[in-house]
Amino acid sequence: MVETTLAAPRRAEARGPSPRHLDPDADLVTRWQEGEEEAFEALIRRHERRVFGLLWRMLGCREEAEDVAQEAFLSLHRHGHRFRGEARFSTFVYRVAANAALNRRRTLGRRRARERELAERQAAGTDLPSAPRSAEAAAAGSEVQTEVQRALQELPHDLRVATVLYDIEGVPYGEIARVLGIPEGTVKSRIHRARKALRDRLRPLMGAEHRSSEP
Amino acid sequence: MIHMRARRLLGDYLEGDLDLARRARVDAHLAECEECAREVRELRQTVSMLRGLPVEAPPALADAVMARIAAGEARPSRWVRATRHFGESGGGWALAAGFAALLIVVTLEPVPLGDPRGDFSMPVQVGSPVVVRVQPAASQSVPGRYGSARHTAAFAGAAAPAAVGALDDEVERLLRARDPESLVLLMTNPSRGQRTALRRGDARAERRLHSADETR
Repeated sequence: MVETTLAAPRRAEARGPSPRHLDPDADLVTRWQEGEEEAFEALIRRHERRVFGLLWRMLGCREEAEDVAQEAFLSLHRHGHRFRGEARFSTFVYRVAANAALNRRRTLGRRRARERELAERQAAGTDLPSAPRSAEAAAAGSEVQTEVQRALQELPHDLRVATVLYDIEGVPYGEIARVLGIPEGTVKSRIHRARKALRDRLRPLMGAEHRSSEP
Repeated sequence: MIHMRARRLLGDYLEGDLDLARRARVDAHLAECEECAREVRELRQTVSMLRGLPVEAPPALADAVMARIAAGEARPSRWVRATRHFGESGGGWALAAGFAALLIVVTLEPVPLGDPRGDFSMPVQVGSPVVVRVQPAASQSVPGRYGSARHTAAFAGAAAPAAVGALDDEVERLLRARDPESLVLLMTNPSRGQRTALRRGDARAERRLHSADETR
């Protein structure tokens, strides 16, 4: 068998707790906590892609993700004095971002329900994505990516955050466990359940490839 | 290998988390079980689709955040500053754990009746106070009633700062939004960031608060 695992080299990071001297952000964090704002800006630039990626996949809308990413970094700045280096700084960042995404989804829930009702009336039964289809398709670059994004939005929050962090952002199990405050085994279980749910949802897109890969 | 046993191992198999012997047994099963082989192919394809999603941060994100910080938007509110000492010292948390509940009453500007924000299960009284109820580590003083000892330990430990940050954000959001729909914030498991923003007049919320009062 040529390929037996999905694990990428990026997952070879250490899984245990990370003392401050092993945290690649430790120096910047110290300088920031001592009052150097440029250090915080450097931290943002170091983590913005992953934070934005997480939020985009969690919220399903680029504009919302950008807005919440700003709020998450502001929150980080506001509460940064509480970071003591018990975990990696990136863990702290993901936790703040994941909480921000959850809060925003709760806020959006009622509004989207009303919007969906209106859209359904207008489209008379058309299955609409959570964001405007043309914009999402353009941003994602293809219909498949749009479908994957829509499928992600249909996952429960706890499954979605686990699979986004692991499968898309490449965060190791151990760090996800610390971000979410759950055991590593639960992280693995959620990722597997998320993949199966996504597989069920995306199976129609796999037909052609299946047939071509049949022995 | 028995079919169901093999299926249970497929998640670890895909991640390369099986030892060589078990991996070999799963390989042997996949060679003869088309259902499991298809499952593996589909899950691999699913992961491939997820990893194919493009992501790049908006180019001006850091600039926008730094501009907002310069404008004073990241400055902690009075509520946060007043409670900051809880997060800065273990003594603060120990003190907090001694209380069954910390009740903060904040009076908001009057909210007009008939405000369209949300559906209220009860009329909102003009000028009614907002009650933010925080229950930090209450299980230390009332074992088993507010949560397990594990939660309490985690709350007093390393996870507390971020959880408190999340609570601060939630309270600030409520205060900023002046949303009468979320008048009561009951925090039951701060260490894991679990909290419940409950609306006044919600029967379930009222029962939970009642129950908390009785056990205190």
